[in-house]
Amino acid sequence: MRFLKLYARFIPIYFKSKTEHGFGFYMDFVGFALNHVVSYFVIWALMSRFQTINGWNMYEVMLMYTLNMLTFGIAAVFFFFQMTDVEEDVHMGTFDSLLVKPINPFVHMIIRAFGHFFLGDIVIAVGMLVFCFHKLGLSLDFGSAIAFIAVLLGGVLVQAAFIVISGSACFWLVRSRSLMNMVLFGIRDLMDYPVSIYGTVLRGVLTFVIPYAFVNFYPAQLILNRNDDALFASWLPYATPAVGLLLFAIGYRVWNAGLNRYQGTGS
Amino acid sequence: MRLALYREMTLNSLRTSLAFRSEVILFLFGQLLRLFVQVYIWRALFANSTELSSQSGMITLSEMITYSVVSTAISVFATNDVIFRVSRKVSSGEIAMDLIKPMSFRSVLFCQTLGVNVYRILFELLPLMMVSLILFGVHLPTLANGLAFLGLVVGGLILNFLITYAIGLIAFWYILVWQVNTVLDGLIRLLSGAFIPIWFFSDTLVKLSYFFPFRLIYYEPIAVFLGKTTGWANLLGLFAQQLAWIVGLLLLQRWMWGRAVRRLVVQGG
Repeated sequence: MRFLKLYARFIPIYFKSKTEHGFGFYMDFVGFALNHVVSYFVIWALMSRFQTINGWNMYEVMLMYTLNMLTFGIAAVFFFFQMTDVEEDVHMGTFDSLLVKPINPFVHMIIRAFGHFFLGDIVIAVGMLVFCFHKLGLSLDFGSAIAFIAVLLGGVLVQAAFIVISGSACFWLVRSRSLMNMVLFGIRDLMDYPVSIYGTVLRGVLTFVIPYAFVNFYPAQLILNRNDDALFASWLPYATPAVGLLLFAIGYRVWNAGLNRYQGTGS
Repeated sequence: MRLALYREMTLNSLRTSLAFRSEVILFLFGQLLRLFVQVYIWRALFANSTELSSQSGMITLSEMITYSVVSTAISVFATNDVIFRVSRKVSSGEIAMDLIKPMSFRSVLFCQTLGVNVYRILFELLPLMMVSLILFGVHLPTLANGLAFLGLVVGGLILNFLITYAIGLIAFWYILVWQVNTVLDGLIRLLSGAFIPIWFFSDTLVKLSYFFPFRLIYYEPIAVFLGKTTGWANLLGLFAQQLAWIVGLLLLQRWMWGRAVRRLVVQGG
């Protein structure tokens, strides 16, 4: 409760400092979002020529892309710039200020910034989600709506965990930006198309080791009722929320281990 | 005398790059990952067919894999940070130091980019090509096609430099250039043939791609590499197109630069 009260104090301050840039602030929403518009065009250009990829049609592929973007967008609002700020603090030696405050540093890290950049992504993702549902003739009743929200939250937690883990690498490496970019914008790109196009090894890695398949592939299987191309086990889609919780817990442990390791870079 | 200056500038940038080796390993890993994804996507799209029809006749899977490998190789050079260098220099005022150098601002940037590229040949392109040759069967071009390909790649890279430089100059008017860069990246991703070859495009997209110079950086050189574009007339046509775009961009830049320097106010320093 205390945290929410603090959050309500912190966020307006954050926005005041950002809106000072005026026009640029509003353009922030557009910049990232454009990237996604192009990605949809690429999918469209490719799928209108080939019709299906491993039995997934254009709108199903778009739905998968959308789920990846939506879960990342939601997680990034609360974690992305927060973790890059931490990296910057560790690098500059100003991270100590987070440790002396009477709040859990993890909570403080989250509430002191807000990823307004990603709100544009979320708006586009929701729009595309509605569009894909419409094109695929999907509708949600009460039960499936609950299931949909549960897998979506699981996906968000997986994305958040990867941001926290790759960002926490700065406690060991001092600079972790390129590692973060690699994981969040390199490895995550593997999920733009159905994971079933890869060989068994890569499928296994993306399911059990770096479980990115739970941000869109398994949720999409559940939403689309696809039972014919189950990988490993047919119940895996239902495990999404549990995987999310587990991975996020691991992320929190990594963060704490990093804090214990942190000794400051002098000054 | 002048040449020594350019050489030093290039070597300097090469030395700076050598200091960031771990970044390069990650970049290399990223490039390989993207290549892997593309190869798997093409394998899945070809499914059980050995060849598919396209705007340039039948295309086999191994030709498509070669296409992806060559495209990745070009992208090693075509991803430069000229846009951000220019905007950083403008916003930090560092540009004042470049303006007093006895060479043009564009030459400074060109040498720096060249230095980075020399480094990239050694530490990115060579490893990337070795891995690709081992993992995927890559078609090799005939000598004539290979030479024409190299010429077109050089032309394409000059074109790419000039495009990014012109966009970097926008920083004199609008400092948040990364947003413009996003637009540029998007257009390149869609219309250059870097990922989807233009021969798989629908007719409308093919027409659209002719309005932009990007196809001359990726698609056209690779089509020559694979022997899909042959004949003197066609090749000369491609070189002529590149030349026309280069001249056009140079004129645009001279105009922009003339106005930009007059606007420039450096604070402090």
